[in-house]
Amino acid sequence: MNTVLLAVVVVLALVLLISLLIILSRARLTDRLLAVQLLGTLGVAILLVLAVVMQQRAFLDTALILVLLAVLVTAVFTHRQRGGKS
Amino acid sequence: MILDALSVLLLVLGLFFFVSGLLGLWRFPDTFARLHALTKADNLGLGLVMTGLLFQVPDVLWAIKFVLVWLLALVASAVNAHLIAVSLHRQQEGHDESA
Repeated sequence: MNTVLLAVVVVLALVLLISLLIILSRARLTDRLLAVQLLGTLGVAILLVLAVVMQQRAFLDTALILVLLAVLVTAVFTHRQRGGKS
Repeated sequence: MILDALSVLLLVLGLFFFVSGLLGLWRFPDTFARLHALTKADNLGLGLVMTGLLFQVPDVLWAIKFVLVWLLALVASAVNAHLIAVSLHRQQEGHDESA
């Protein structure tokens, strides 16, 4: 079962790599933010799988913090954009 | 054994949603359409991967924490999508007024 889980991690890491390339290829800030959100979710998924593979509960706490930080990025950027506009 | 099979099935489904969300992010022409594709991938992909892992956890506390992570991810994803959509809408309105 661990082999399957590690294969899942590899696929998730590939998706993460491609979404990093998407961030590089986009010009607009909003599109980049979308890819950053995908990065956050992928990181959480990888951490969840690794928590089961390595039997470490600390990974789950890290996943919780990562979820919170991923949404904070968007909040800060959109707030700054609005402040710049009005 | 059957739990393992169920687990693999759910994990593969979750990976499918992640990959399709990535494809949507890569190929869709409009930012609103990309937002749509991304939110599906976020919620359903993470949810299915989490459910697949739920059959492999050692005790109940782990399972509770997994579900909590997913619920928090749902709330975060909804807030995120709302913020991005409002910001985008405002940008386009401002652009239309100035043009």
